[in-house]
Formats: sequence, structure tokens, C-alpha cells
Amino acid sequence: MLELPQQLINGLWQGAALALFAMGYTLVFGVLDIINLAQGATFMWGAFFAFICVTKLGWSLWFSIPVAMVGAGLLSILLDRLAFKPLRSLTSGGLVLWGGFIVLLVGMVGKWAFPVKTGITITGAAVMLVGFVLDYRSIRPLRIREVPHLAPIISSIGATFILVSLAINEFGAQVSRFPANLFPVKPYHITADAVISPIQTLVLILSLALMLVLSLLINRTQMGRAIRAIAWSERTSRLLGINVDYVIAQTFFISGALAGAAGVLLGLAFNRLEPTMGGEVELAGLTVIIVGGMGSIGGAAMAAFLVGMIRVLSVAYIDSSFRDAFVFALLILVLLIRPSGIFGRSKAVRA
Amino acid sequence: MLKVRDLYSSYGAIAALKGVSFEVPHGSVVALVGANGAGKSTTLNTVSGLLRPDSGSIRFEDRDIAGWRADKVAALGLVQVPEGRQILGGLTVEENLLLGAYTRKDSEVAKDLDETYLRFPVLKNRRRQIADLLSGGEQQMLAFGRALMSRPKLLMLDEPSLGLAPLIVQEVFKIISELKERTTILLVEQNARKALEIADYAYVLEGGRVAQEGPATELQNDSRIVEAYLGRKH
Repeated sequence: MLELPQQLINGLWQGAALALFAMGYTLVFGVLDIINLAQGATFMWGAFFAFICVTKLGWSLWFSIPVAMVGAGLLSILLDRLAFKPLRSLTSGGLVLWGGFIVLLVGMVGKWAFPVKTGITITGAAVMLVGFVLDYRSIRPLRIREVPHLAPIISSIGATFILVSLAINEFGAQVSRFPANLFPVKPYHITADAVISPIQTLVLILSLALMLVLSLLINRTQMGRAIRAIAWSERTSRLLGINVDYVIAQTFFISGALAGAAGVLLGLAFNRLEPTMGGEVELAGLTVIIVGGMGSIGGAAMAAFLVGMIRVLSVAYIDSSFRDAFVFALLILVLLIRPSGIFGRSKAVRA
Repeated sequence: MLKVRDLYSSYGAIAALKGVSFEVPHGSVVALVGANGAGKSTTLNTVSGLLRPDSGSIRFEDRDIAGWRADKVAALGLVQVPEGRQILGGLTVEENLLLGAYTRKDSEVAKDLDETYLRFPVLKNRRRQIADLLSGGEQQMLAFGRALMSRPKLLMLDEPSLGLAPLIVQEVFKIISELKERTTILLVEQNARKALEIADYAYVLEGGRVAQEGPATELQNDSRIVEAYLGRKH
């Protein structure tokens, strides 16, 4: 059994990475009132984007991390356009986008001879691009409607299946690993017994830095104000001239980039990448945003450290197969005692 | 400046507007008056893009904006101050004002913010407070201030006096008469007497149609209008 200081250090860096994931998760919930269950798949793809950059393209890790974040952010925007936006407002461009997406899937997954496969894939991607631009520029949508809460949850589950299947198609179902010599392994001693490895230090520092950047972005910029305005009232935001779909796209980008960062960092720290790796963090993240108060970014950050600690401590002192049981015990406890979350304030603070 | 022709609009199966036509010339104040449910707010919401018209045209300057998204309409300078103020309660007073200038690209936003604070000193004192903590009258000031921050070409005011104490109502109409100097106004009011005092021209809506129209001074003296909407003078 390991010493407590060591466990606290482990809880800290794992909690920090979980915080990145959960802040993006709760951000989208705050703005759209939807739970994007495909956030875990975005997390997984973020890790694999970095994996492609490092192993196939031979790029340095320092360059691959931001590229993977941008990739995951763009993937997240695409996810919104395919799975969520048509439920809010359908445009003819959106239909073209979907048509292109189906062609792209047929090209990527189908067993075609070499030039045909490339041709179909590129055609699909080109049609998608045209559809995306048309969708974005449309000022007279075909249909606008209020979404029932169930519809986006189902379509995000569907999106998860597609993204996981694509990853299995590309990388296989087995575990992929970064090259072993990517990072120095000699640990830093915090105390005589407690150590933190360089990669864990990177996870902690980068996570804290990104949390700070997010906080400034949300609280100090016109973009952040617009995001919070939409979270408060979409209707009023529209009357102020805020292009709601554009700001939603920005929100999804931020959310996806954070999930991607968490994916790369945890993928590096455990050096274990697999297409189903998003499932576990998805459930932990869901607990975090409920405990933190749905839609509260600061609450999610705090709750992530709490959940990270609980997981690490239950593995160290009780039984590793029970770690999720303890996380869910916390979830149920919070739902029973304080359904608005431990750290969350209710959205409507009225005089 | 704004020309609405034969506007039809509905909530699901219920027709709310049955062929509304009106005009707002540049520099004027035009009032839409009428009873509850006559279609006044529906008209504004259709013009501002919150509702899609079933048919009809809405010409603003040289464009037909019928069916446009609300944010595109607002970006043209056709700005609605919605019923019930609709301030962003979770944001601070200053953040509300800065978001009023969301569509602007120029560098004079800070200058306009100072001007807004000069005009509404109560907002300056409370600039860092969450807007939900303001009183109803203060929220209406914030809604005006926020709309002015966008430098609107045409301001559409939806029931600005609704739910406010009589003294505050006086204040609100005083502000509207000041706004007249700066921008064109389309005013929707249940308080028809006050609206006709301030407007140049007015339309009376009834059951989703224009029942009567004319210069505000004429309508004020029209016995039918007096009977139906203004009540007897005391």
C-alpha cells in the first residue's frame, strides 16, 4: 500500500486532466442545455490525433498537442453541425452536409480499390465543406424548432458509435502506444517517498494553464460574454445581434479542444490509447458536472479534483474495481442532498 | 424606412396577424396601439425575426427582411427592446451594455459607454452588479441603454411601461421623447393615451388587422378611439 502523499499527488494530476474534460462538457450544457455524450469520443479522437502526428507524421510532441486540440475542436464543431444543429434549425446547407458525410463514410469504411476509395472520400469531404459553408451562411432557415431534451442525447449516442467505429476502423480495437522514449521517465521527488513523473507534471501544469485561459476567455472577452448571454437567454441574445450558431460553434470548439487536450494528456500519462477509452472519462465527467453544478465551470473544476481524489484513493486503499462505485456513491449522495451540486449556484439568482 | 405589407403570422394553427400593413418613415415615432391580443407584440416579433411570417413583406431600407434570422435583422440596425426588459440577469450591468454593442466594429464603444453612464447615472453606480438585482425601472433604463449602445437606426420598443410604477412610467416616456431626437422609433404600447401623446402617427390593431390609422393628434380626438382605448377624460 502506497503512502498518502503519493496518492494525493496522483489524485491532483488526474483530477486536473479530468477538470479539462468536464469544463468543456459543462460549458456546452450551460449554453445549450444538452448533454453532449459524444464528448468522450472527442476525448479519444484528441488522443489519436496526437498519436497520428507523433507516429505517422513524426512531429514533435510540443507541436502535436496543440494540433490535436485544434483537431478535436473542429471535430466537435462538426459534431454539432451533424448531430445537434439540424435539431435546432435545419437549413438546406445542413442537408448537403449530411449527404456529404454519408458519402465520406462510404468512402472511408467501404472496401474499395485504391483510386476509387480516395475519390469517394475526397468527394464526400468536398460536399461536406460546401454544405458547411451554405449552412453557416444561411439566413433563412427551412425550419426552426424547440428541441425536446431526449433528441440530442440520442443523437450524441449515435455520434459516439460512429466516432468509435471509425477509430476502430483506422487504428484497430487493440491498445496503441506512443513511442516509449518520447518523454524522460526519471521522476521528481516531492518528499522522500512521493514522486511525480515529468509527464504527470506536464499534465498538471498544462491543465492548470488551460483552466486559467478558459476562465479569462469566459469572463473577460466579448466572446465569453456572448457565450454566457446565450446560456442566460438565447432569444435576448438574438435580439442583441449575437449570431447564436456562430457562438455555439465557438463553444463546441472550446469544449472539444479541452476534451482533446485531456485525451492527449491522459493518453500520454498512461500510455494507453484505445477507441473505447472515452467511456470511462465520460461517466466520471458526468459525475463531475453534476457534483459541480450543471453549467458551472468553476464548480466543474473543483468537483473534478474531488472525483479524481476519490478514484485514486479508492484504488489505493480499497479495491480498484470499486473506484467507479465510489464515484457513483458520491453522485447519488449529491443528488439526494443537494441536487443543484456542491459547488454550483442555481442559475437563477433572483433578487 | 420600414415598410410592412400584408403580414400574416401565426402561432402553430392560431393565426395572430391577418394582413398587417404599416410604415415607419425615417425620423418619426410610430405607435401601434390596441387591446391585449390584438397582435402588437406579434408584429414586432415578426419584424425582428423572432417569429417567421407566413407571408407578406417587410422592407427595411432597401432589403426584404421577411423570415431573416433575428441576429441578422439586429445587425442591420433594426433593434428591438423586448417586452419585460429581458435583461441578461446573470451578467453584470456593464456586461449587458457591452453586449449591446456586439454588432459594432468601430472603436467608439468605450466613448458610448461613458455617454450611457452620463445619461443613466443609476447604471454607473451599479455597473459591477448582477443585472438581476436592479429594480424594474432600473432594468428598463438598462434595456434602453443597452439598445442605444448598438447605435440603432430604428428602435422597436415593446410595452416599455408594462409593469412599472406610475412615477417610473413618467420617467420612461420622458426618456422616449428624448430618444426621438436620435433615432426612429416604432412604439408598441397598451397605454394608448401616453403612446399617442408621443407619437407622430399611429395604427390601431384589432384582431390581427389594422382597424384604423392616422396622425396621433387626430386619433387622440377620435371619439371611437377615446371610447375603446383611452377611457373617458376625467
